[in-house]
Amino acid sequence: MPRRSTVMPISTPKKTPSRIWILGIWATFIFVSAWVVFRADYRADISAFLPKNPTPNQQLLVDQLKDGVISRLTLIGIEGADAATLAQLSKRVAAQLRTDPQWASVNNGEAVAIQQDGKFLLDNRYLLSDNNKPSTWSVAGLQTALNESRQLLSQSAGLFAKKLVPRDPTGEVMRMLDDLVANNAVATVSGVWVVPRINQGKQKCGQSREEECAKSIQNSSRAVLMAQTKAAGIDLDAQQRAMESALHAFETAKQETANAADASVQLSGPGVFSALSRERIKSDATRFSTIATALVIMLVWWVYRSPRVVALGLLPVATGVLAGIAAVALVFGSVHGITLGFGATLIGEAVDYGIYLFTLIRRDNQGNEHINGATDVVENSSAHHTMKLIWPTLRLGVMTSICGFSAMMLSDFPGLQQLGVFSVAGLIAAVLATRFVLPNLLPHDFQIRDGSLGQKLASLAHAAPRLRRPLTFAVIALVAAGVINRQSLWNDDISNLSPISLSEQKRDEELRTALGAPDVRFMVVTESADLETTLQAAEKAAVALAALRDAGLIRSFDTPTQFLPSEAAQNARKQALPAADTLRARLDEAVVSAGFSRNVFEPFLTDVEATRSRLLVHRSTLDGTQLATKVDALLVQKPNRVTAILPIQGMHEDAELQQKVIAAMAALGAPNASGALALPNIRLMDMKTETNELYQTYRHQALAYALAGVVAIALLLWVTTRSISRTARLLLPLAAAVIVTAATLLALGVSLSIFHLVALLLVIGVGSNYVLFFDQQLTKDGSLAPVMLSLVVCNLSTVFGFGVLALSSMPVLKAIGGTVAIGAVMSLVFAAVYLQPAAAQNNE
Amino acid sequence: MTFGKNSLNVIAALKAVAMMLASLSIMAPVSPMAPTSPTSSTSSTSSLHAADANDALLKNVMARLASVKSAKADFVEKRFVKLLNAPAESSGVLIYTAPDRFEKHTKKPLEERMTVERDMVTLDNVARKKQQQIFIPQFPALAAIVDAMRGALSGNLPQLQQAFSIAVSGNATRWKLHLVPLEASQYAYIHAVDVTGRDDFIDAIEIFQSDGDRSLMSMTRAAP
Repeated sequence: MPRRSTVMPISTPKKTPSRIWILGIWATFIFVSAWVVFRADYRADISAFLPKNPTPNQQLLVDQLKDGVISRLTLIGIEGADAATLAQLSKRVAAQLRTDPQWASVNNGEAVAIQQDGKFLLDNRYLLSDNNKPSTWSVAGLQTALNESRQLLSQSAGLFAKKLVPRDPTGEVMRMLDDLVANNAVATVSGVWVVPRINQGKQKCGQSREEECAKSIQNSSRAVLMAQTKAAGIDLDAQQRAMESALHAFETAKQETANAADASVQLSGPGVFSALSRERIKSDATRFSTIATALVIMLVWWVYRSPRVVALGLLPVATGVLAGIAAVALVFGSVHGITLGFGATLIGEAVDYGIYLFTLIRRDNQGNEHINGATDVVENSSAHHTMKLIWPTLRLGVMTSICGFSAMMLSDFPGLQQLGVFSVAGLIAAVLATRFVLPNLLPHDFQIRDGSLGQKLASLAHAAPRLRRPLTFAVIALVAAGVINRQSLWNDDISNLSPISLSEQKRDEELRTALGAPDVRFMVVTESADLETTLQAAEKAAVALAALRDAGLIRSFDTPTQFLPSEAAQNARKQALPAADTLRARLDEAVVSAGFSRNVFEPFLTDVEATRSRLLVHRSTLDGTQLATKVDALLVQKPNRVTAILPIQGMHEDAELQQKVIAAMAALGAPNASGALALPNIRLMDMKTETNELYQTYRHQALAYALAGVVAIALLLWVTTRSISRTARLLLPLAAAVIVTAATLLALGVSLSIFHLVALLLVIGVGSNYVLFFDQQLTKDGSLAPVMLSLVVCNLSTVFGFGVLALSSMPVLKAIGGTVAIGAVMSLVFAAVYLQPAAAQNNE
Repeated sequence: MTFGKNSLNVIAALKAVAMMLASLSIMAPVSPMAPTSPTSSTSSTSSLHAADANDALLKNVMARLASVKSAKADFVEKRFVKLLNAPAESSGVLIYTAPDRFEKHTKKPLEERMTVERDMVTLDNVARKKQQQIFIPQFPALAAIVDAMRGALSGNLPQLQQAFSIAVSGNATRWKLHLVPLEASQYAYIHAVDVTGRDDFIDAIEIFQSDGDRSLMSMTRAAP
């Protein structure tokens, strides 16, 4: 129950020009910032996590992630109906998406593009097949080939193979298909990809009734579609639209199809994941900030009982957030979602500013008489006066926070730079709003309600130093433990930071496996300035990889040269083809002994002769085939730089054997004796290590800059206090708080990520305010009662605001929320523990 | 933030294309001639009495077959293919386990194991060290053959009638089933499958392909 009404109009007898000016400038600033924020471009792609000066491997990674063919891939899975219905749904969805200009290609196994592929392979088989060499065309070679074909005819596959044998007795197409199929075949129902969902049926059929069992078997299929967007994977708005169009296509198809009531669709793929995570960060951030804001409002309301004060308390926060986002948008041209996530952190500090002011007013109002005439009563004298009193401390607090964050601006990573700019601009705006705007808007005779709460809190605080000794030991022990276990403190597996849930990652995996597209970790990369050189190098690498495959070190690999060989290789193959008469004579000799009827091979002779004058295969020859997508994925063509990628599937798990693969690839890249024919830059890349290393660099840099920030804070305190011992005393509670917070997280089974690091920095930012106010109060009169309430309210608001974020499923929000909530409490407790006797001895 | 986890994986996806190639574009028969309504050709018998008799015989034969829970037979298969100047011959063992699993283990001239279970065929080409899983409905020709063999082996009349029109001749101890695929896509490859047997044992399966080639698989009971 409020003892007195604080709800008063901002009734000031005379509006001084300075007040009008200040409010006018502030309103203009808010308006302009809001406009910038509203117009800003928001992103959630990984570019902010990519270094500005990448290594060649990183550059490749970056290119692929930004706009590579792979980044444009969307996998669509449809399930929850019988196979025939799924097939129909798949056809309808594909038909609709094929007419949609957003999609570059849609493949669901239908014959649409596949006939093109078959024609391409058949027509160009002698240019594409590396089996085409002079020895194949000798009488003996032909005989061997014909014998094999004959055996094939007596096998199960013979039923299908016999259509092909008269055209292709040497089995070139079959061989290419074998390579293509490798271990993967996508099952189809009525011509479209419908795959059994592994184990699904069997598991359900253990004990359950027969009908259910039958139904679950019947519905245990999944239709899969593979689509490419036209837009790059990094264009999240476009990815979002494409995703929506796919969902819409499914809903339409579902309504048109009978028995499809229970059917459901899942989308997967890099673009989908990026768009989804942006949505999720957005919705989680919105939801939890709303809850957090509500809690903070309730708290402030409970203390001040005034809606206006509640609103005013949030004013510096709002100003700071707007200014921060606007500054990032202006400096970087776009705002990254993660910056916004970190930005939540600003709330924690900025909301304190108002509270310091509000809570301290009453006391200073009481002792108001002694203030000198200069400040006198223009409007809300008490607010202005209090502001002047606390300003030095507040200013120092803000400056320490700024020091902490501004180091981030020097980073090599745009993500960290954005964070730095955001925090610095936000904090400055928030503190200026507190300093100049708030006092002008506060009710004329604002006073917080009296209470014994402050006294109680103060007596608690006075008892705190007893904990000092045990706490100091604990901190030292924790530091020692941390040093010993320093290897396992940090979590460098980037996938743990992905906002994509495990079940979604698993489904992505399933869809990929169904389509025979497992996650690729290792790949051989080669690049040069022109296409022909790169292709030739890729062919050499492919030969080496084939040897490794035959030796069992890898399971299989892909190469763009499978469908786009170098011109040199194609010309050699052309040369190997014998003239028509020669071939006919040799074939006649081989045919009878191989048990074939005479004259069945006329189509073969015609094809070989046609190939001798055929144009070489170029990238454009592949147009209209699905194989073009494959080649484009494996061949990155940029001006003056053509990169071939040869992904390796099933690298041997044994580390020693892996070393052999690495060595074999390294040998390829090394210049040979003459040096003249050295292959351009062939290297083996481990995508997982590469991405994790990238992240590690990011984290190392963040850590380095955070430490630099701490040093800057220490310097600032020293310059201000002119006392090394006092600086040390001020820093001690903060250091202890950071250490205990980190230890608490680790004890809870959390391994620290970059998000925790930034959150710890924020703990220092927020905590330094507590420490400074605490210290100021002690220095002044040794009594904590007046300042305790404001500190506790600040602390609770931080705990509420961030504690709620800890409930989010987004790693970034969760990490920041939990860390800051714990850290804020620790900072205050440790300030009470460490600062008091120091104050007693120290009278400046 | 998806990072590198999902990059470059899909490349291999196009391998999928290959199975389609195998079934659709290259090897599909070029003649899209509609089957001359196979349904009507065999099943409409003139005499109602004869139909009843046939019906009874068919049920009798199927009941005998259905009573077999497992069987093992040596087989010799001859393929009469126009491309070859002599029939291609292979031999091996056929193992059946009720209701829907059978294995054709070819031993000569090249070892190969074809296992049919539910709607999947596993082809294990032992000689070439190549294994392949095939979803049966994907290959109409394969589906026709598998349906005929499995339908006859299991004695499942409704299942057999779903896929074929059936003509039966002979008597209960020496019978012959003439199966004609009902499905146009299957008929495009397979015109008929003749299954002959004694009592509960199938001793020959002859497959007539639409291009005139045929294959004859003869079975003799093997020690279990």
